[in-house]
Amino acid sequence: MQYVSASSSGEAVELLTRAGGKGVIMAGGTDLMVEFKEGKICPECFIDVTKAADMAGISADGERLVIGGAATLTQIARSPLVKRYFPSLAQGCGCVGSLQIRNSATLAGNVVSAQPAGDGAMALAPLDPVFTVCSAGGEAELTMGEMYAGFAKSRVDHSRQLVKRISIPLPQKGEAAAFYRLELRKSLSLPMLNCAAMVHCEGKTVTWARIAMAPVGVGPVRAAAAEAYLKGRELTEAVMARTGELALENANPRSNPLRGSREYRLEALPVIIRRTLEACRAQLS
Amino acid sequence: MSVRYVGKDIPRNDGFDKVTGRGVFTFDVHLPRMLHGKILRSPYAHAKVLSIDTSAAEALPGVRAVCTFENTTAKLWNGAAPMFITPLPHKPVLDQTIFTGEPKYIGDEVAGVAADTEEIAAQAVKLIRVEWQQLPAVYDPLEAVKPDAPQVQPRFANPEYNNICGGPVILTFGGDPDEAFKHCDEVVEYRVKLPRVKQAQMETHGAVASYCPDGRLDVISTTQAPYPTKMILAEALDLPVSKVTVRNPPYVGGGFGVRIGLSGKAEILAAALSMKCGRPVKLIYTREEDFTCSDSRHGGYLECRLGARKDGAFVALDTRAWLNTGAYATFGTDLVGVCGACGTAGAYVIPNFRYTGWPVYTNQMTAGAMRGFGSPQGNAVVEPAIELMAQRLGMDSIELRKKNSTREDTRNWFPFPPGSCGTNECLDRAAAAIQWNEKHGRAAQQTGPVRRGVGISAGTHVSNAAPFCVDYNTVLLRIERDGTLFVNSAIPEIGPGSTTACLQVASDLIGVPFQNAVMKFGDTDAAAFDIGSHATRTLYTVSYVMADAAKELRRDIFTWVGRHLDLDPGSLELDDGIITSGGKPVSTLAEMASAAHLEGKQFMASSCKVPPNCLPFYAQAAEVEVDLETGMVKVLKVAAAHDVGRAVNPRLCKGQIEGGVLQGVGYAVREEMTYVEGKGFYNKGFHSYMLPTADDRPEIESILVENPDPSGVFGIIGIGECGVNPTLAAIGNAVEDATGVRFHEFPLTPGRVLAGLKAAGKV
Amino acid sequence: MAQLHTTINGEPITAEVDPALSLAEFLREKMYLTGTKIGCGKGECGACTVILDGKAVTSCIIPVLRAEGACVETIEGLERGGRLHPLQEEFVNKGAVQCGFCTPGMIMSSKALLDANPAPSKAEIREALGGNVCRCTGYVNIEQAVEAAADRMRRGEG
Repeated sequence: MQYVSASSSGEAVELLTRAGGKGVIMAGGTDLMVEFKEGKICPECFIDVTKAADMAGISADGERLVIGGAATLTQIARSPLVKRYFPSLAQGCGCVGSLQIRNSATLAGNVVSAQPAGDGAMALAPLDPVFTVCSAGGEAELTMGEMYAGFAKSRVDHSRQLVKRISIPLPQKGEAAAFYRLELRKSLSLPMLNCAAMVHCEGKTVTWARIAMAPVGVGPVRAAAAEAYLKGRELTEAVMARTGELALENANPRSNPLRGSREYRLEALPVIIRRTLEACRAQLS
Repeated sequence: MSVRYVGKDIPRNDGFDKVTGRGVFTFDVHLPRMLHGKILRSPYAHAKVLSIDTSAAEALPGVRAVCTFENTTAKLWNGAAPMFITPLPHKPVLDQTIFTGEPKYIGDEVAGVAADTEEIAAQAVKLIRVEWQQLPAVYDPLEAVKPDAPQVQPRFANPEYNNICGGPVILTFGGDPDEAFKHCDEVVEYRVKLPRVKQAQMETHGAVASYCPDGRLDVISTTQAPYPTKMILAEALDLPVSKVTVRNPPYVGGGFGVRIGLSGKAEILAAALSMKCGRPVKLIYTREEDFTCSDSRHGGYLECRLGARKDGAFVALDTRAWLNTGAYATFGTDLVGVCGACGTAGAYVIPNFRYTGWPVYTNQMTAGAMRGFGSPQGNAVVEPAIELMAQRLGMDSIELRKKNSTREDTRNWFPFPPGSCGTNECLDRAAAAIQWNEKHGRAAQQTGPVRRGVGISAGTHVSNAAPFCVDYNTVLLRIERDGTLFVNSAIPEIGPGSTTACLQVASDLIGVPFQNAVMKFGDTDAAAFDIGSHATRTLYTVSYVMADAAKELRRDIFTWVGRHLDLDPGSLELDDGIITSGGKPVSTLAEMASAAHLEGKQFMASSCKVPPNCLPFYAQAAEVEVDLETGMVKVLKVAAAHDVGRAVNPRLCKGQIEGGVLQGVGYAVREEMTYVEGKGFYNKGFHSYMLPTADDRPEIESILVENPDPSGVFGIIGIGECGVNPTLAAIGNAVEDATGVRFHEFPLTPGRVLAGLKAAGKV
Repeated sequence: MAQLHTTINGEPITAEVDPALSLAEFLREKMYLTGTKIGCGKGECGACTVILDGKAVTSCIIPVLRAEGACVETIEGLERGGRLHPLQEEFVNKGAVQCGFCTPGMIMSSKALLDANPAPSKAEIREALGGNVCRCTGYVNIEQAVEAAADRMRRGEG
């Protein structure tokens, strides 16, 4: 087994090509190392991108917030830029694993590992992010919905591709976003359910809403029926409660021996969606 | 003799080792020529091995020994201390072997490999080919006792019942409850289903066993009972007891009961492999093995009836328990007894008392000792019943408890007097700390989705296992040439700070400075028999034996000094290393020890005694917040008041309470080993086992109540296990106070709570 | 095998390493720095916490070669010539130590916190220690020890 550190995304792609499908991109490695130690993956080469200069850092260019593919969850959770524009993203990134995990793990990794309820990925989901994915064939831009290929399966093949950066349009007037995590424990645990929403209002009327929820399907699942219902309505108690109920139309949770039965998740989901919207409303008023 | 060290917050003497990383744990031990062991475990809950082929594993380069049930002894034993501490006429259940050809739970040991590296050993285990025949299995104790249930241990179970391990255990005191209930003004009933929870001590089970072909076996391990482990190994492996040494290296990363005897089966598995190849073998359980293949707390079903007069006086209590002891006995029978005794018989005056406990074999991982040892289970059924009785009688439940609490002159099921009884003071102080009067019974005034409530629970335990188990100690005290104290005892130090507190007691008992006193511990070569760290006993019992030895040591010193200085030995006194005669300083212990040494004399004394026993009383109050919409229960605060008799080291003492309380909080609201049929326990690591973390804990207020006990040296009473015992019941009572719903199954996870609230029409 | 150049507790180290090793395995098995414990091997308990370039990490899931060119601090580096770091002293004084198996990781998480934030709030202390499991203490005294050490360090001690 080899372990090489790439100094740029371009070099990492070159190393991937050279490895001919037997190399694997490693960012934080907090999931990969566990899988590797358990023998679930056995690459010939790990290509470490944590020192890739063009994948580091967090910046804003007037139109979008750009998060490097190697930016750690701690960097994001504590970034003044992220806290200013997207406090819900800072909050979600600050919920993953533990501080030690967040000090290594990346947001890009949280998306590519494709766990349905990754807190960072979930908080990101309603923000309309664009993922710049590099491979030998060049760069491509993928939306959140395009990143997930199946249950715990990413469309990004880490033996051929890497996420160079994540770009998020800066919030406009009348927009608000929130994240909610229903948890058995703060640290070292996946959520029972989590939910993130972004809404845009003109006056009191919702012009559009994006609501993501998990784990109720593949990756962050959009509550399409609830979003459609919310459009054109005011965020009243009754409307938010009804939106929560309608989210069930797109939710198909499984039972988990620890984190809640299907029945429980179906009971609690409308509540946390309502609470997430309440948080959005509080920001708007 | 003055008390200089007892009662002081002296920093623990293993602190330097532990904060610098110098302290050695079994996990850190590395010996010359050492190999690494890995175990092949059954993937089935009950199966027969039709054939086993180890040839490919043996052929793998680097493999040095392969052991299976076919080439190791089938001699029967019990891996827990009862194998050698069960007093006559009782007999321990011996139902374990090193490896088995008929595994009885998912994880049961079938074969083992020792190899040059862990990786090679793991690879070799995968190369062992086994042909299995699956057999019928049963998982729930109430299912297992049915007449047509599959037999888990047909050779060892009580033939009169189905799947009963060594029981049933029936305890009675006073009159017949059935008759007495007829004359009660009020009778309440409560039933509860409790989960299995896991000790989850930080260091997994581990052992390094070195067998020398001349017949000696030296084992370094994580056991919290070195002597019983030595005896079990000698018996099971047909070795002279004298040639087996068991020691901690010297630190052990927690225990909480999981290793009172063999640590998992690490010692005997490593020893079998070492005996096969004549080289040291290190076997460290993975966290998953620790979680799924070593004793848990007993879960199961309990129900009780409590009868009282109109004025609140308890008349009768009848409790029945069906506890899931899993595939092997270990502590099954003993624990079910303690559940009845400490959990239901000790805390209150009950004129008509009965308890019936059924230790039930199932095809699951074995349940055994865990902090509290049955007390929490008993407490979890009796204390809610008391709350229900208070409601029925229209009394404040604290007043009801105080009216019935055990007093110094109470006679109950226990064959010894209760000692000092601080229950009522504990109740008052816990209630004050939680603001009981302001906060209790406020459900009706609350609105909105989040409700608060408070609850309380009282109880008792024991301060050691005598006279129910063979429980005794040996200590050797000696004064070094410079007057410093050296104590030999085989007790382990698994974390509480026993080795510090014991030295505080010894220094005061003898009259020497604490500063340079040293204890040799955790080693069967350190001293003669010690039962180990269990049953809340170490400080109480070792102090008792030390008091005897100290008296002898002082006599030894005074006799020699009197002769040497031509003084009346009866006039001599020793305090903090200064020898006085008639109140005037005449010499120092340092000078006299040095002078004695030059004449071929060392001051020393030893003692070996069975301790007395006394009941530790306590009360805890909890405040909770319940989210009615999500079912989420958050514990805000636990106030824990414990009558410790005398706190030898208040900070260490509070540390015991606080640690126990947080385990109790986990037990009440989050922790649960969840069995998935065909797959085994879902909880294979910390990520899937919801013990509390630093950012998810309530406020814990530990309150030391000090009513010196007449039996305890300096008045001390046991504390070790007590912190965890009443917490679950206090929290369950608080949740009822907040919601008006009484729950019958723990832990109070959001799903369970929301379902209960809905069923009760609360949401 | 690969060459690793790193700094451990202030000392430059060059070593031949198997890239498949975790940093924790390297520290324990090759450097004999057994103060770093492994409680789970999956980053779920914090016993293996060390400081890598100023950040607390669970070294059991850090590839050893990530330490290339980096500064690694382990529990063994805190005591200097018999003098304990204020965190070490306060862990002992405040009763934050029981079995001791979580202690090295707990202290390293605390040190990373205090190095970056000399006056942490209770919430910040709890966040920093949320990934370090302790089953003995109920965390009460651990929190107090960190606060006491922070106080002393702000006053210029250590």
